[in-house]
Amino acid sequence: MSQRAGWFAWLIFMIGALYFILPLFGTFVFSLQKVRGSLGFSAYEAAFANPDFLRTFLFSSLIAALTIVTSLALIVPTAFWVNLRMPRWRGVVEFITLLPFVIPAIVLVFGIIRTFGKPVTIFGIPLLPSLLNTELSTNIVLIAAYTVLSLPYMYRATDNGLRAMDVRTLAEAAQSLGASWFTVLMRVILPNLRTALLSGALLTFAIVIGEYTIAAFLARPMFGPYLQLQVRNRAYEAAALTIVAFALTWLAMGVIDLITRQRATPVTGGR
Amino acid sequence: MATTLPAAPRRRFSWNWLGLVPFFVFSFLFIFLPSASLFVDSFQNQNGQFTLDNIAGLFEPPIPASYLLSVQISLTTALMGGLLGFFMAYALTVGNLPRWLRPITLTFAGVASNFAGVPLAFAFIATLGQVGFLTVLLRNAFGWNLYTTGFSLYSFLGLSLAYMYFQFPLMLLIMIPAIEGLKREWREAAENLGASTAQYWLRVGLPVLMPSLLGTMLLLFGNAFGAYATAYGLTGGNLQLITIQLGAQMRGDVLRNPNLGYAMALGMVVIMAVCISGYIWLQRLSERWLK
Amino acid sequence: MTFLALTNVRKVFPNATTPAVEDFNLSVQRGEFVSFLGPSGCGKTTTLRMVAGFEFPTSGSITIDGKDITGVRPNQRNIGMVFQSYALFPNMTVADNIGFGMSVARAPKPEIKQRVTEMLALIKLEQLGGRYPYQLSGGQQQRVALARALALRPQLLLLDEPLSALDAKIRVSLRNEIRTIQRQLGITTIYVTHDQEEALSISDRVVVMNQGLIEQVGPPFEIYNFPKTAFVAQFVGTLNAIAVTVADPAAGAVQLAGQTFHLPAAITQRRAGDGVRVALRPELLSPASTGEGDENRLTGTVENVAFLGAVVRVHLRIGDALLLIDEFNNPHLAVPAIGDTLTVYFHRESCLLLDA
Repeated sequence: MSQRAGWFAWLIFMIGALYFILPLFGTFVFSLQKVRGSLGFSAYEAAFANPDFLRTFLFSSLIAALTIVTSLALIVPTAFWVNLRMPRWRGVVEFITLLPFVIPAIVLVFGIIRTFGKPVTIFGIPLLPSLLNTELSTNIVLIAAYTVLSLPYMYRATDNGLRAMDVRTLAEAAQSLGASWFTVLMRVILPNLRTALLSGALLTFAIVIGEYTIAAFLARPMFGPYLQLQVRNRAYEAAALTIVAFALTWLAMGVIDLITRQRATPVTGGR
Repeated sequence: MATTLPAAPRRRFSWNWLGLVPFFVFSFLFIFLPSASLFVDSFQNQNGQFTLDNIAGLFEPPIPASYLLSVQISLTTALMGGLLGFFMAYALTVGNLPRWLRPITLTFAGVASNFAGVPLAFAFIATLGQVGFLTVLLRNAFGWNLYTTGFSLYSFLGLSLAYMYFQFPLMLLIMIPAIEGLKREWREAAENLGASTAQYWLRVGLPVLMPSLLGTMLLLFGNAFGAYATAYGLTGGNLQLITIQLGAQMRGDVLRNPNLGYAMALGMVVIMAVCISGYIWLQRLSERWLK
Repeated sequence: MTFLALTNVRKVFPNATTPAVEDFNLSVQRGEFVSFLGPSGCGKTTTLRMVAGFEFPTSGSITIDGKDITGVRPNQRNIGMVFQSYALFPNMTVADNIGFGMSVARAPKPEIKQRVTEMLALIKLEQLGGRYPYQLSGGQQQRVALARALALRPQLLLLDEPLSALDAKIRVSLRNEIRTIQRQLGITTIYVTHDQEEALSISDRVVVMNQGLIEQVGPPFEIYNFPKTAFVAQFVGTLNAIAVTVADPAAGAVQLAGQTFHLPAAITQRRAGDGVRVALRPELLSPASTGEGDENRLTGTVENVAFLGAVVRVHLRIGDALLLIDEFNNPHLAVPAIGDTLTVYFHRESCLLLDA
């Protein structure tokens, strides 16, 4: 019965830890080297001073926020409905939420451009005009695409939350005490889902903020393509922004960990 | 709108399905339609007629080479990432590393597995590029010039290293609960029946973990196979992965046959579908055993 | 002759303020079936695990057949163990599970096969050798766990609350099966449980434990009828524990709500007026007089009558005390009604002073 860790365990751990830390450390050091011969934060100053940075970062944040709202508005009622009213459709719904894993971002955006780049017709019957013609409609498509990307995580988080609280029994108990459906939703179900929803929201935020593929091919002024541009032209600023992106992801994950202290399911996102 | 729960619907017809309509409409518009359009167009030629030529075209160079390269890098990083992640999960659970290391590692793993894309690509450039932190360090401290050994970050090896950054944390995150799912009593029962530690792992521990292990490696494979941003950020268009090819096709008709591009995308989806199906099946199996 | 001996065994867990097990001394004869009985946390499982080798005693020794095994590793003790959660290996069939011990010891395949067949016959699951654990019911899994432990012909069999996870009916039939098999094989057995009915019905001897210490050791009849401590009296079987006042210590007389009755002996270390507690088993109280001169009697009001199947339990209110009286049920029984006045009779020897 060994109680202490062997040398192998420590060796593997150090290798893993080193792998995690080195690239970040290297980038951080690099980001401090803008002024030759000294270490300073001038790269950060230059990066933040660039008006394009603010523009794209705010735009990405806005899109992320709108994606979260859309995702929540779409997923929560659906998960609720499947759990309470239509359990037989659970398999179908779960299958659909797994499709984003099967269709990587690059294929999704390919299909989106193909489908919405021209008017949408089914068997010759026009349904929708081309959705990629105007700024507004393209942004809507962007939000929809990100909602698709967030589907698996949002649904799983919400569904797990609902099952953990045994939503059927809770709803029945509330109803036997005279509550209406609306009251049940607002006062019993949503408060208990807070943790799950917050995790899903934070994960979606992390995914959207750094996303490149869809943003680039839909020609949206998002943070991802902006960063890629900086990599080509301004290496030190790019390093500073990379550290910022990392810090943001770390913040989001840290908050998720904090609020889900009791739960054990891992939460992961894009590639 | 009914105000009672669906105990036993007295009528055959209920309006319940209406509640799922928004979800189905959304999925139809933004998942099904884009995929279907790719699927349909794969089987059409430029004139809109049905043909299998595009599928046949998938087997003509340079496309098979691209698939092969994508498969190679996915397989490599799935195996290497899988092993490293598994051993690290082992070290943190059975290996008896101090308990306080675990929450920190898990948070870090969560961050790392989400850190893919342009930031990751650049982080590696800043570390292992021509004037990267580590390159410079090795040259100054050990006199060893990494780039004279023929190493280049913008190669298969370099990209594999970058992919590993989000592969092995994902493996770690999934394997830690799986290893903890091994009941203590199994180990004790095996010991009680005369087995040594090695025999326990060989006969009980590893076999029970195998579905989880293999399933997660499949997931890792799919993860790497569909990656675009990291590959593009690191190597530009140099490495002819299938995703890079697809991206090039989208920027301009490099294949001179757009329908071939759609067929390429379809091929990708088929491969991903096989991976994910395998992962789901193995997950079910492992859940049944670990009940 | 003594087969298993635990001598002065003591176990203190790291960072614990009180010992989990203390002053544990026990001699078990070859072929004996001994139960460790007690509430959760009393140390019975810890003691069992020390015999199995999964915990090591802080001090004291454990010997089997004369050999000191206190420091021996668990995979070298040749002791069979059955776990509460069955612990069957999920990736192996029933047959492979049962044969696991022998295959680890590199026994030849035909021998393993034969032994597995024997074991499957012993637990009466001959047809299920090819099944996987998740395909079996709880009771079947537990029998397989038993067969797996017995396949190696261990010198000792340990069972850690093997039936807690099962339905009541299965528990009764399975515990009898376990006892039958144990008798058949003549294997020395230790059985841990918190269910006193289980322990009393199948054991040769029962060790009652509480907070790490042994309260009493003895055959079931003795434990039930002659409890040595208040804890044993209250833990084993149902008990009336009533608060009375001492009336005449020399005569052993006590008073309840103005009525006097006598204990079998004088009350020492108490004076008239002191409060003490007296224990009475419900089945030893009866509405019918025993006909003896010095019998005790108490009168009260019937508060409730419960039909428990084979037994009718009357709740009798006497002052502040509520007395439970058990009578065997039969169709001709004169059952009192709620509100009736009832007098019950009992021997002096039926009374046990709890606070001695």
